Amino acid sequence: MKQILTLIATVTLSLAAHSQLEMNNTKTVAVVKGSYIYNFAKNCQWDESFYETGVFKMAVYGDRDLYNELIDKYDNRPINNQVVEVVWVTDLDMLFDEQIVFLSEVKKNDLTLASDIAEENGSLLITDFNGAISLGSIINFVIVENTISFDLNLAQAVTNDINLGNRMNNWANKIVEE
Amino acid sequence: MKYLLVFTLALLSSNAISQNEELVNNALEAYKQGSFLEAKSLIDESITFTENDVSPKVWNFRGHIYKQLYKESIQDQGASYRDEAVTSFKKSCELSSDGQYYPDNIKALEYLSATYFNDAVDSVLKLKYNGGENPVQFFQNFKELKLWLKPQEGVKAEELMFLKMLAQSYEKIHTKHDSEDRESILKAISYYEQALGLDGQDYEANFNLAIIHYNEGARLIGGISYKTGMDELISIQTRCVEYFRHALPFMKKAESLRPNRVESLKGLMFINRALNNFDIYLEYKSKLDEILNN
Repeated sequence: MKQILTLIATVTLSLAAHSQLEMNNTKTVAVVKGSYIYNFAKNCQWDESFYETGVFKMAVYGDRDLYNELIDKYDNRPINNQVVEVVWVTDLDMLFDEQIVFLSEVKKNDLTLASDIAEENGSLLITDFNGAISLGSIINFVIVENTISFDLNLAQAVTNDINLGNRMNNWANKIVEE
Repeated sequence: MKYLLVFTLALLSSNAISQNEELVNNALEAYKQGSFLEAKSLIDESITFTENDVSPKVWNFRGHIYKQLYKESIQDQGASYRDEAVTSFKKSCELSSDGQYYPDNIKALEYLSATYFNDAVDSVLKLKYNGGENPVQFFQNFKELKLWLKPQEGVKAEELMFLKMLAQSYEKIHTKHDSEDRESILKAISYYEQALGLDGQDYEANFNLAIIHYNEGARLIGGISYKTGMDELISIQTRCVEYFRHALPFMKKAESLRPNRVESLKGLMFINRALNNFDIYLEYKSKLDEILNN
């Protein structure tokens, strides 16, 4: 009996010791970017015409994880007197009256066109790839010591009639004035 | 019961019955009748006599009385009986110059050692949030006794498995009781670190420790909601990166120990993505895709 008991205990111990834990499958990057975008929405001011409807539109172009995150946590959430509506864009022609447009690295060849459209529509163009800030993006996500931060292009924000507010300057990694 | 025959014959060989011997005889009678508590009182009184205190025979008998009490006891009550049985058998071994009782002592001690081990495993399985018996003490008792019985064998293999099992149980408790239970996750980390102290090349300990650190960071990020303000977001990110940085060397080690394993490649992929090392993330992703497609 002693041997059987010890064998059972040893097998139990061995099985437990050799089992592996499961990784948390949170899409970490998308969650952080999503939170930044919602906070940008809360801290910036757009042209008055954007406040005539009850909807605050966010468009995502090229990043499905980010789109899903925004839909999951922020769609229908309030921002001042508006509620967020998140849309997935498959073509830049679909853009019209969005306060925020996110263009991901996989669509970087469309940056110039997206910037022109954002300028015309008065949208806040957000990107996440090198060089975007000097090519028409207003906010570009950058990596600083393994964390996601962002650079701001103040001049482009003025051109698009967007007031970024003082606090945004404090949070930014770098501010481009020209 | 074979042991009882030897013991009885040994007693009968004495002619003059002194008070100390009478106590032992009475204890034996009580033992035969199954009155172990009475036997215990008599044998404890008997060892106050010097002649009995230096007798391997009496200490062996005392060990058996306490062993029986342990076997008949329920749960907590048995622990002190078992400890006392171990002490008695050990003392009998130390006093046994002719070795007559030695084999019986060792056999009994091996049995008791197995019960410590079983209790250690059992109490790990029954660990609860803020409760349960202390498995470490049981294992410590097993370890001491095993090393005393077979010093050349050591207990490294059992200790390594035990520490990993303990760590995993605390991790499960933490997962079940959600984020506020810091104590459990810190214990899980500590036990995995102790396991790696015993064997830094252990795959599971490296892999699971990496996962714990990664999951801690991912859990914090998963807690981000529409209520999270910018300052809090920046603070959360800073804390998460620390967790992810802690996870990385353990997952790298796991991958080096068992190269090209899907789980560790996936781990390296996730950790590097969380650390925003996108080039490295893509390298692991491509390697993983290659393995999965073959």
